[in-house]
Amino acid sequence: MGFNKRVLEIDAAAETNRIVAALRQTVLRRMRRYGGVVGISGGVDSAVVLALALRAFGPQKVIALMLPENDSDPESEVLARRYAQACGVTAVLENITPALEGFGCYARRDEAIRRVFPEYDAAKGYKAKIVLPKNLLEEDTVNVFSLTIVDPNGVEQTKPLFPRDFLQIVAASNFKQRTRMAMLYYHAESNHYAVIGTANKNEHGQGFFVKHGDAGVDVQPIAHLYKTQVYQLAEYLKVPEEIRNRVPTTDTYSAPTSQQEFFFRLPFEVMDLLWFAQEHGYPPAEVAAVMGLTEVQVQRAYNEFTRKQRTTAYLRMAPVSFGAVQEGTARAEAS
Amino acid sequence: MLKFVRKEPMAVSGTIENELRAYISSNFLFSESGFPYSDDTSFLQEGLIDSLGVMELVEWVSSAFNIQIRAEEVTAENFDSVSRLAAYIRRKTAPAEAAPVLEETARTHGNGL
Repeated sequence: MGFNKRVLEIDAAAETNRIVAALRQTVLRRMRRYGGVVGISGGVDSAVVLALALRAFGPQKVIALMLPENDSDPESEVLARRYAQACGVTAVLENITPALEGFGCYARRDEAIRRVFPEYDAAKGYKAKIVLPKNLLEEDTVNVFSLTIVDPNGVEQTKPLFPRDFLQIVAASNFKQRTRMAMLYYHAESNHYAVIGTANKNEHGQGFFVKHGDAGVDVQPIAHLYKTQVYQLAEYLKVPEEIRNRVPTTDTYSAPTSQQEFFFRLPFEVMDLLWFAQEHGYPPAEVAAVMGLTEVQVQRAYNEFTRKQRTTAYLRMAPVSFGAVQEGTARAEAS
Repeated sequence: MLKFVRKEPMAVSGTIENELRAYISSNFLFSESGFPYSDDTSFLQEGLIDSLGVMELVEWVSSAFNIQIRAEEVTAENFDSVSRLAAYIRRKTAPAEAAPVLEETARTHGNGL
């Protein structure tokens, strides 16, 4: 079959049933946990996963956890709570700001930001974010992150980052995902539940996640689905439009940052098709004709996918052992 | 007080490729056998250097060759092989094009990045 713009359409009902059955089999029978904990953010991925978990385990065996912190958009909590209530589960609120302060998350991040912009002061209302070059298809740019600050009057300034500053900002910010992971496991272990992950294929495959952070989960029920396929499931599962229509953000940096701006560099409806085409070996010329792009643009996108997967392979690596070690089995194991 | 100064390039023409190969071998390839690629090999396509590596390279080139690198110059065209990078460094260090460096900027954030 030739490449066309409908290649990512799925039978949402059948896929839902397949995932629900797999969740039951994996969590209840293989892992021998009683239910699942889902961190909900007010975004479409966690909304879909919550709906799937509810179908798999029932509302009495699912905990929906909201984990906001100082830089979270307040709208995220509002949407998450409203959606959980509509699903018949009580959303549990765990504000992780005090834990992050204890780690020095904000202080360490802001120290690095001030090396670039000495005037930056979060207490005075400055906000910050890091971003990649925007024009992926238009020129052969390199994925070098820049730092943008927004002053209290809304004026933006951007500078590319030195490695030391970039690494410290990212390492400090990653306390957020790792603290959420710890809190998810607290609730999971308190109830003998599993932690259900919310990463989609784009995030997992291209490395838009934190190792031992949001990737620190027991099951990944939608990690095989492109983002546009997650939206198809969301529509089938009746996730409210206010969540489906929301622009996916990082909700990690104090200045609003879309996932496209921060990492992916392409709209999902274009990126997903191009990535599918690359994965299935479609020649750039054929894809370019269908997408209304040039061959050069398609090849640039292919190169970007290859580079991101290679660069982030470390994130997907399990701990490496240098001798025989016992792997998990289907039998019940000591906790 | 701000003042303009002109900084002279440190590298001698003809040795730039050697310096680049040595730096990349030592810092990115962890190689004990030098740089086993052609000077036209794409760093990014061959996986020799990732995006963080480019950031490291930008910082090192700026310091080692005493040049100011603007954000829009950090492209594959300028940074994606030994040949391309050497040509870029030569253009930047050519006397007629050597740009004045704003000392205040250099002090507050290194090479102006």
